[in-house]
Amino acid sequence: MASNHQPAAGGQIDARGPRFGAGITAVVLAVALIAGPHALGTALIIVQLLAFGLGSLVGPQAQPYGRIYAQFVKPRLAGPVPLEAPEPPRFAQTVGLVFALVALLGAVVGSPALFTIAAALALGAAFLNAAFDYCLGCEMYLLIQRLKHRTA
Amino acid sequence: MDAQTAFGPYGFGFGVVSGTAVVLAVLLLGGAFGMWRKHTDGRVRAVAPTEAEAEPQVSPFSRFGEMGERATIVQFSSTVCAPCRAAKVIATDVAAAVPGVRHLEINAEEQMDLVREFGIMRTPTILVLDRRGQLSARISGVPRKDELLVAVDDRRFEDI
Repeated sequence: MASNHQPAAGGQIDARGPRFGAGITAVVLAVALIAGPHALGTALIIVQLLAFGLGSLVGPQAQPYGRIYAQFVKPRLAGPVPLEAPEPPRFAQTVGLVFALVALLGAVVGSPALFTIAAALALGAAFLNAAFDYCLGCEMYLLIQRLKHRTA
Repeated sequence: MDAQTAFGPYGFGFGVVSGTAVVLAVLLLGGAFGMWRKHTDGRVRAVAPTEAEAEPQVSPFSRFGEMGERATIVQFSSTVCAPCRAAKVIATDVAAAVPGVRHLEINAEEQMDLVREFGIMRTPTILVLDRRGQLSARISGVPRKDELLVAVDDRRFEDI
């Protein structure tokens, strides 16, 4: 199954992988929010942080949920593989990483508000990605570039 | 792990109720936004012609390629853009199908002045220019092919 982990020709990846991963991310974050900024919720945020970290710093092909998809889900799917460039999902993972870091910070410094807001924003982004194939991080990208350009 | 360690001072109580409320609120808002977005995404919006009928100056887009005699589809794309490829496929299809229509693709990250001038907020965004090179319609998202086919036939906008 090793070939499933490799990006396809031209560095493209299976577009369904990141969307499947967003579904798992949404479940993890929802349970973390319900549990609150205590032992269980904080542990789940750390799990999510590691997943985002691998997806962002190494790339979508190293994202643990993407590996689950490649290992267990993809072999069961028939039909043509929809390919996409790895940059958009990777950028989305980076945005998620920032939210998860802020949520963890909220838990560590004892600010339930900070924890809840950051985790809720990340949940919203993951849900939109999983349910509507809408990449919030990608949509923000040009706006961030515009802000950078204004200050440059 | 006992309930107080796992869920905080109130155990499996108030915190869980409020956390669940937050989750439901996010899913509800996200669902509403996602559906609204699905409904509006890729729609053609006509742009009212400007008052001045003066001979147009050199289009700021002509340096990216040849302008169409009938219409030009100007697509703003970026690296971090999953749907840009799908938009390009549809735009080039339309350009190939309608004589006198051309498709130009611009890397938004390298053309921030144009991005600001034309109020581009996301990629892909498509500007449709009429035969005089004037902005006649814009599309945010992957265009709907049937609507784009109508938009490049700029007579439609004479009644608007």
